[in-house]
Amino acid sequence: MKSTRVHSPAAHLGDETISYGAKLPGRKIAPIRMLCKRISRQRTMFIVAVLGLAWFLLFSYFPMWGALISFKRYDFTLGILGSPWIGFDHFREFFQDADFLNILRNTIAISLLKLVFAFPAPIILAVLLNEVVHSGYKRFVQTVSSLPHFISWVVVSGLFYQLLSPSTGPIIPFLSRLGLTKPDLLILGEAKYFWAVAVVSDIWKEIGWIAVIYLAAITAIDPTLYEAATIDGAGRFRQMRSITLPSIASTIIVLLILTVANILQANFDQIWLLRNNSVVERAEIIDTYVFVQGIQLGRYDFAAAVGLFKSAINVMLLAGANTISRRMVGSSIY
Amino acid sequence: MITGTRGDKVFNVCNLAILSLLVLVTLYPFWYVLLHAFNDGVDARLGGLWLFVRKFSWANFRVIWRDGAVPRALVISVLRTAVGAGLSVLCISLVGYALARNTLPGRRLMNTLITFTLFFSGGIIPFYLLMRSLHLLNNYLVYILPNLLSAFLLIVVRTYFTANIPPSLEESARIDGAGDLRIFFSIVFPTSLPIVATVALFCGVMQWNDWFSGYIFMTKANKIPLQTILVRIINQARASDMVASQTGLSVSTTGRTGPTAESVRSAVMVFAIVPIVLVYPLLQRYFVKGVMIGSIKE
Repeated sequence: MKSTRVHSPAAHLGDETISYGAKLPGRKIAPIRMLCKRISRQRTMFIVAVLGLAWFLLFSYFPMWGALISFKRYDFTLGILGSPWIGFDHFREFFQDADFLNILRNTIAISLLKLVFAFPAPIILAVLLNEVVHSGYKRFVQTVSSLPHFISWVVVSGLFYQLLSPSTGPIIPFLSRLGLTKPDLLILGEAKYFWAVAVVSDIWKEIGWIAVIYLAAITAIDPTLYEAATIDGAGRFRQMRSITLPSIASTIIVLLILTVANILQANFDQIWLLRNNSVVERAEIIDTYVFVQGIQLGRYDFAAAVGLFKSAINVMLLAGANTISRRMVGSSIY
Repeated sequence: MITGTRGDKVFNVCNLAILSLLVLVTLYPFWYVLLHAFNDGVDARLGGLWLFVRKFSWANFRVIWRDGAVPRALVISVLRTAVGAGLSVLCISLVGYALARNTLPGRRLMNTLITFTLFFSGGIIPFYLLMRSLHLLNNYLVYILPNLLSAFLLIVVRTYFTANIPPSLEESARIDGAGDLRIFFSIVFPTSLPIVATVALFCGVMQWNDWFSGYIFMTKANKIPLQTILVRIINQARASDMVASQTGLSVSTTGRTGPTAESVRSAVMVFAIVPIVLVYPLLQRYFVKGVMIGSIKE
């Protein structure tokens, strides 16, 4: 949409600026003048965009600057710039901490378990849903199963606490009647079950919503493909394998990239709310460690360093995964 | 899709069975909470309350009503959702529209800068320190200002406008002398209701469910929203649970009936869930549409 035919009242102001400010000989107008003219033509929208950008500069970029305290012994009376520089000392302290390997192990283990179990589950659900003939029931299942995604983890963790209570919840008595557990098992108080609870609750909460996304992609597949396959004699499973899955492959790949690249991320909300003192050995992930060290214990500089370490690895993993995906499959995020 | 063979019929039956099981497993926890919110607390302690109300009681809700903190937290949640989401929708739509217009100077740079924030952040500690230095601690604005914009939603809106700006309407309005803002509010905004609704829903859900802001930025208990107070309530109940399982004793109550920590917790959860349960099924397609739009590359 070129604006050369703009009739806005402000147009003539641009003309004035040019004739007034041009200093170069001949008819050539300096680029900076062109820029100013373009800006003044779009004054309002430009200001809006700049204000939007300013918001990001303040709330997103300025904290990146604040991450500098990772390399300093932060004293708030001296400010960020005034505090003494100590280089990588905080990082060294973190790597030498007795809990470091534990924390790293927990973070990666939870992410990998989710990758193995919670990542394929919505895909399977979407494919199954796609096979349902009755569209009313299909919509019903979609709506119901995606509902937990929109409930906060506070509520979900509360639900799981109640349901898993050995005295009042139904799950433990049910399992113990099957002989699988002892009847007074407090599952959320035992460290060895924590990862399982984290994965199961994650599936319960997210399977429906992600399946709905996949389903939307599946619905976009050309139905004549299926018709042709039926004529050729392909059964339902063959069609799934040869039509449905390959068509959503690029969606799956993109989400796979994001999931793998976020391996150090492991959902703070969920883990923090399910975590308690009995299960810390298996429940402490990088983000909860940062929270405890920084917000609870007030070691801002150290916690910022740990957080920066995690963010840096994240970005590298994301860039790497993106490149691999683009080379191998052709689809990528950016 | 294909019907006829016996294998197909078996598959269909199994499929429906699995899906129905999923529906039950998804809905049951909600039913359980509802059950325990409307049942007498001491009676619930006996266990076995899984399907139907055994001893109906309003007492749990009465405790909440009389307690000062929870109704106040509820009001704060409602207000921050309405105001916060409302302002966010306005800002995101406006900025998204500005970024969509290809006549904007510096557009590519701005878009790159904004997209980058999706991938890298300074972390919660520097963010916390920023809030502190902006005097936003214990300040209601901390619920609004950091949430005014969102890189993800901006991209969604921008993508939508890039594909859907009505150029002829805009041109004729401009000829009539309307300025950019006027065009936005009178023409673009009203005709983009689907995307505005999507953004409103995402922001609304985010504001309603946010427990973390109140958790770390507020030290004064009278400024926290519903979800944050729920965290406190769950923590207390959780603690008593652990004591009970380890010593075999249960926390004593004064009478044979009445509310308990657990039953009151269920009642509070009902408040936290009900708005979502009411709103979401009706408006599900707007959520899906928003994600779809946002994932289409330009």
